[in-house]
Amino acid sequence: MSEYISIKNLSVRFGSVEALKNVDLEIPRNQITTVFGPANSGKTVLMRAINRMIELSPTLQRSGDITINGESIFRPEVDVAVLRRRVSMVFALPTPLPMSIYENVIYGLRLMGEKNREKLDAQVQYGLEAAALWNEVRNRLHDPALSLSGGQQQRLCLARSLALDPDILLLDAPTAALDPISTAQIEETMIELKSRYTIILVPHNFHQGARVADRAAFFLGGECIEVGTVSQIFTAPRDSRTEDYVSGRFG
Amino acid sequence: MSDQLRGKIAIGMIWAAALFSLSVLILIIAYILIRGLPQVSLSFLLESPTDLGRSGGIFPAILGTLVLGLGALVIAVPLGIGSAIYLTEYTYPSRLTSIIRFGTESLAGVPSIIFGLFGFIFFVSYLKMSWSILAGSLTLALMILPTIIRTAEEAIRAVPQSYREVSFGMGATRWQMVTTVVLPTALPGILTGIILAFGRAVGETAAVIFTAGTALNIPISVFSPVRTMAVHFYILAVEGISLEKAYATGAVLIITVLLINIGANMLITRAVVRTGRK
Repeated sequence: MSEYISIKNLSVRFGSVEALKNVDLEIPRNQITTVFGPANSGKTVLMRAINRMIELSPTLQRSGDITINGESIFRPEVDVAVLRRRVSMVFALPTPLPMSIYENVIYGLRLMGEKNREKLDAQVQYGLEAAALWNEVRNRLHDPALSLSGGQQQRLCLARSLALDPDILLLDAPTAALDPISTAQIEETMIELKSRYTIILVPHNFHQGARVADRAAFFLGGECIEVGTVSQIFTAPRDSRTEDYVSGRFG
Repeated sequence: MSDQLRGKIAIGMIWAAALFSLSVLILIIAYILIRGLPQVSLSFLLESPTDLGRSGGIFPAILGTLVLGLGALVIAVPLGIGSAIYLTEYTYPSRLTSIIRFGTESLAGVPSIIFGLFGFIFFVSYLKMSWSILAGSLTLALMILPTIIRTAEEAIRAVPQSYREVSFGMGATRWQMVTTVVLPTALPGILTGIILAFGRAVGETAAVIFTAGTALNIPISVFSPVRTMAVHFYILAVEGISLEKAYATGAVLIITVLLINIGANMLITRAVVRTGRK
């Protein structure tokens, strides 16, 4: 197992609220790692730390480090824009921007100043195919993105991230607002994508994590309680708190 | 009294209030149009006035109104939108922002005649602009600035936070986020504010009469004095020159404002439909 993303003694505070406490976590390449736990356990903050979105908060205090491929993402010469394109995030609610389907998918490329039509067209098709949406929208790429159904919108958001050809996908409860059929589609897509990307998934419930992930990390109150393979965590947890949570004693 | 009856009485009163407000508005517009429209002809619109306005048309006043209003917008829109972007996107709520906000709100409550006097003392006398389009536009710009800042700020605040997150998440800088996501989404609201402000500027007399003058000539540069339709109306009526021509001017002014409103609304609706938000 080669460590790809390495989180070292990471603590994050927003004002007086302690969101993450001394988190250590290793995330291997080309696998799906699920980060699960009850509400306010620090899952989302962890995701937002990996693409430095937490820095949008003025009261942030951080200590510890995150490395990708052995290099700290907090080095002063790191361009956050480049980092966020390499580590792309899909949010819990479908968040298409109020523009056409096509414009949504190339949004990131446009920000980079890409103007070559052929390149843009190619990335649109690549992103939408990878997100399993191409066949449904290929004939109406210039319709407003908001005219799509919820499940389609979420796959569009996935396509928007994929069009940037990132290395890492952060999926923060991407199926939280979706019906079971759309959820199943997204889950299938995730499994297909892991050969090309490293995926970190905050599942919409831990059953989803068990279904699609290779490794699991249980979070509680801002601490990483236990990490292991999915089968170990969900069938033979070492920590009693993990066991209580996965057996449904609290949650 | 039963709750149902109370509800019905409340609905009746709300209806009556709405109906009353609407009918007052219609009455005023209808009165001016009925008295004024029969005097309006193509020559009234396209000719210069003669005999102080007793006869002839109001072409210089129409031109003066539009030039002065547009001049005010050219100055106030960038300042207003810039301030609104600063207040919403580039700073966190602090003592400074509340002082700026308090300042703009106070500015909104200042009577227009005070703006007129300030404009006269500062722009016309001190800066030696004399009565001119420039001095008038600057004064009007100050007057409509609070409206533009406030409406733009509200429109920008109404942009869903998730849009900003997505934009940052895709690697946008703050400025890219503002230009690609926030401004396009807030545009209909910002335009509404601009139209409101333009309506105020176009109908203004007190702030303009001291700063742009009352000249009835066609302006040749930004340093020319002009007379707006509202001022023309005021002078014709107060000095007893011609009530008929005054009402005709009023009718043209009302129709101008209505046309601008309708045109802008069409633009806004098209912008909203294009992005699929309705």
